[in-house]
Parts: sequence; C-alpha cells; structure tokens
Amino acid sequence: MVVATAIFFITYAIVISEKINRAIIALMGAGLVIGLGVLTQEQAIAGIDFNTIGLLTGMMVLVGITQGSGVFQFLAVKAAKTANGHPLGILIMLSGITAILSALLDNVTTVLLIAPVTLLIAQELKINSYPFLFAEINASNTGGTATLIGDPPNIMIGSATGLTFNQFLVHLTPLAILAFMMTLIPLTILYRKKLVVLPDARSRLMEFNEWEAIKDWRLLKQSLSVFGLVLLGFFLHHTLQLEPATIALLGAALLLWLVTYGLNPEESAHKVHGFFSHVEWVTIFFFCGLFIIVAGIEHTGLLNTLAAWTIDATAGNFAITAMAILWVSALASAIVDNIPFVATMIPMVKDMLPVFQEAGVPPEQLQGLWWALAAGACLGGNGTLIGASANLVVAGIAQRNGISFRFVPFLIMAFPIMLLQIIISTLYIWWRYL
Amino acid sequence: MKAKDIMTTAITTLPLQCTVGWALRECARKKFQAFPVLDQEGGLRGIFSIMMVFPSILPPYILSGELSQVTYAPDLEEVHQKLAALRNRPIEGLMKTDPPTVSPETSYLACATILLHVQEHFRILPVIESKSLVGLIAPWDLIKNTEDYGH
Repeated sequence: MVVATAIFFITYAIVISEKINRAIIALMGAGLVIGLGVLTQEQAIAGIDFNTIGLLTGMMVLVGITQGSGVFQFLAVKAAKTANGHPLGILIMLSGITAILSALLDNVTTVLLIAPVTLLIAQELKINSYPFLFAEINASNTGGTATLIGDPPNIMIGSATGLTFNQFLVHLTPLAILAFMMTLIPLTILYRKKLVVLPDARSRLMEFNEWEAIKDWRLLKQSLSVFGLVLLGFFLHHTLQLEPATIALLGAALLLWLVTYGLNPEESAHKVHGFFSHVEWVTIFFFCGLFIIVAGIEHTGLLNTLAAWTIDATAGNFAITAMAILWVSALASAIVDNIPFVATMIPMVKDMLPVFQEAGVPPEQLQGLWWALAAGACLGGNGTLIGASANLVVAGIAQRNGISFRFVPFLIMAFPIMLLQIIISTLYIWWRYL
Repeated sequence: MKAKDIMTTAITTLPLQCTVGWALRECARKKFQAFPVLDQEGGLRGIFSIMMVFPSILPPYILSGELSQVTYAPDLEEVHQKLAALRNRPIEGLMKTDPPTVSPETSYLACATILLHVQEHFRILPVIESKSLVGLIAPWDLIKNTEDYGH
C-alpha cells in the first residue's frame, strides 16, 4: 500500500508542477506500479478504461476531419453576425456557440477553433477581445458539463457507471444551461460599458460572408451526416447495447472511409495519416498511465479507506456527502487537473454507494453523487486560469496576440463566477436529488 | 559542378541603413524578390525579402496558422496602417540575419538542397569567399546551368 500510495502522490505532484510532460510522468508511474509488483501486467491493462480512450480518440478523429470543411468558422461568424454587430450580443452569441460545440466536442478543440475567429472579429470591430475570450473559456467548461461526451470527467463517469448519454442529457444539460445563463448576468454587467463599437466597425462586421468560410462542401456534407449518425447512436446506445466509444470509433472509421473513397492507396495513406495526427496522443497516453496508477491504489484498498473516512466525516449523511463531493470537486478542479482528480474519485464514490444503498437511499437519488462529481469537476475548471486545459489554450493564443491573460486578474473575475455556478449546482442537486 | 560555375556575379545589394520603403521600391524596380544586405565594409549582414514584410503586418493568429484562411472576412484596416508605418523603418529589424551561405567550391547538389529546404522564404543563396560576397545563386541559376551541362 505504501509503494502504490507513494507512486500516486509523487506522480500527482509532478503533474501539478508541470515540470515533466504529463503523459511521460503518468506512463513512468504506471511502469513503476507494474515493476514494483503492485499490479500484474494483466491487472494493469484491465485497469485502463478503453471506453474513455476509444470515445476520446474517435471524437478527436471526427472533429479533426470535420474542421477541414470550415464549418466551425462558419458557425462563429454566423453567430457574431446574428447579433447585428452589437458587441454584447456578439459576446453572448459567441459564448453560446462555444458552449454548444463544447457539449458535443472536446473543449480544447472548440476553443482552438473559435478563439482565432474571435480575435479577427474583435480586431475588425476595433475592440478589446479579452471579454469575448474570457466568456468563451467559461462557456467551454460550462457547455462541456452538459453531456456525456462534453468533458473527460463526464466520459470517465459515464464509462465507469454505465450512466447513458440520455441520462446525462436529462440530469446535467438543464444544470449546464442554467449555469450558462446565470453567468451571462455578471458578464453583461461587467462588460456593458466597456464594449463600445463605432457604426463603421459594426458595418464592417456585417461585411463578413460566412458562406465563404465553407471550404469543402462535399466534406461538410459527409462530416455532418456522420456526426448526425454518431449523435443518433449516442441517443440510442443503451438500446443498441453499444458503448459510446464503439459508436464514436465506428463513426470515425466511416468518415475516414468516406473521405478517402476513390483515392489511390498512396493518397489515401497520406490523408489517413494526417487525420490521425489530430488525435492528441499526449492526452491519450496520460489517460492510460493514470488509469493504471489509480488501479494500483484501488487494488491496495486505499480508496476504500478514504471513502469510509469521508462517510464517517459526514456522519453517513447522504445530503452532506453529495454537497461535499460537489464543493471539494469544484475547488480541487480549479487548482489541479480534473482528470486525475475524477479518476481517483470514481472508485471512491463507487465504494460509498453500497453504504447509502443499505441506509435506504433510492437509486435515483444515489445518482446525485455522480452528478455532483461531474458538475463540480467540470465547472470547477472555470475558477482559475489553470483550472482546465481550454483556459490555458485560450490564454496562450491571447498572449501570442498581445492580449494579457494573467493569473490574478483572471482569478478575481473567474473565481466568483465559478462560486456562483457551484451555488447554482448546489441548489439544483438539492432540489432534484436530496 | 560547383557554386562558382553556376552563381551570378552581377549582384545588386541593399545598404544596411536603407528603409523598408526604399528596399521595396528596389524590389519593384529590379523585379527581384530578395536582396543581400551589406554593411559599409561590404560584409554580408543578411537577406531582405518582400516575404519578410508579411510577418510584420499580419495578425499573429494568421501567421501561426490558427486561422489559415480568411476568405470570409473583409479587409483589416490595421494591416494597411502597419504596412504604411513599416516603410520608414530600417530593414535591419526585418531582414534575415545569418543566412546560410556557401563557398565557391560547394557542390551543385548541396546548393540545391539548401535552396529547397533552408532558404524557402527567400530563395537566394549568397556565395562567400574570404568574407566577401562574390556571387548569388537563385533557383533559376541551378536550372539554367543544368541545361548547359547536358550539352
């Protein structure tokens, strides 16, 4: 137990310090778990959640191919124009499109696609792009909360618990919409007077021709058709008895086949190679290593003990436990990567369930613990600049374009907004599950 | 075949002190895209190419490739303002310093490889002997001389 716990804490400490690439350190930790005999190779491989890995990889390939059509730029420009060049309206529309895309795609990909268009739009309008980028960061994490595929914590929770895509829609989407809408209130108050656009700049925005953004109509039709099928598959995955990973990977294979249909083998190989390069292999290998490390401490019974302590600390009170999970997840995810945090929490929460089940808590209410974990981990990412990968990606793009994104100024605005979202989540979970 | 056999010896150069506007006028007048830049002692200090203007006037999100096509957007006033402001700046800040060079004895193969892989933004290769610029090799020199070689 000591060895596994030591590997766990050292790995986490190095991941937090960001001194070594997180994939490298997770794989090294996983190697030690096996090398020092905490787990056998078979147990280690069994610890890797291939549903999470498959779903992430499949969606990354799908988005990687689709982005070549220009559809995401189209959506961003269309959203901005819908607001008629009114800056506050543009902020709301761009946030809205970011939230919707983040619910369906990976958050980092979403902001990588939307942030550069936002910079262009702000430059045409001759206004500071900071408010837009700030709102988009928040929208990407909030939108990601809404669905099973929106954010890695949800993917992991869905895979570990068997909760379906539709259950996430029923239980988390309303909360995400509510949190998104409520966040717009402070953003509007803060930026109402700062965002002023001259009439000629506004008319320049209306000169944008969003249809020109579509580079490849054939690819667009193919990608949207496959995306439609994949979404349909997600809605029906429980009935079809297929894991979301299977559906995403099948979708990726189908789209790969469609876009390379009729090409000679050399061209086809070149294209497929390019599409697979869209997969963020660092994230995928980080997950693999992490799952093995968590399996290691799970095997030693440490998480079981921690779960028992938590229940003791809350005196076995279900409501207090749910709230503790929500708030601790939010605060932890604001500071550290929510992926290792949730990977550790999942077996702990699983250990708590039988205790509450025996105490007579109905199954529908028990689910509240998972929704509390998902909401806390996803929305917590809004609290600080380092709370989520999407935040750092936007900050990086902004800095390269001369827009300062500093830790403390971001914290001063973002942390209270995150607290507001967690208070909303508290009320929501209280109302629905307690 | 060596660099000395294919290089052009009638070279037009730019002085280190000239402005970007002056350099661009020279590019237009001579119909060249790039020039070697020499200091007062005749030493090669860098290469100026019209392609080097774009990184100074286009927004970073376009330069980085984060937005690789903007056919849907109207013109950006800022780009024209930056270009206008750039005209009075010395070329020293814009030119490529320490460009790869070859000696008169460098092989044809080595010259072609450098032009293809290293100098892709300005496509001229200075030939240096005893710290002085003695010739220039452009892609055309490589092709033209290959034809001569065959006959």
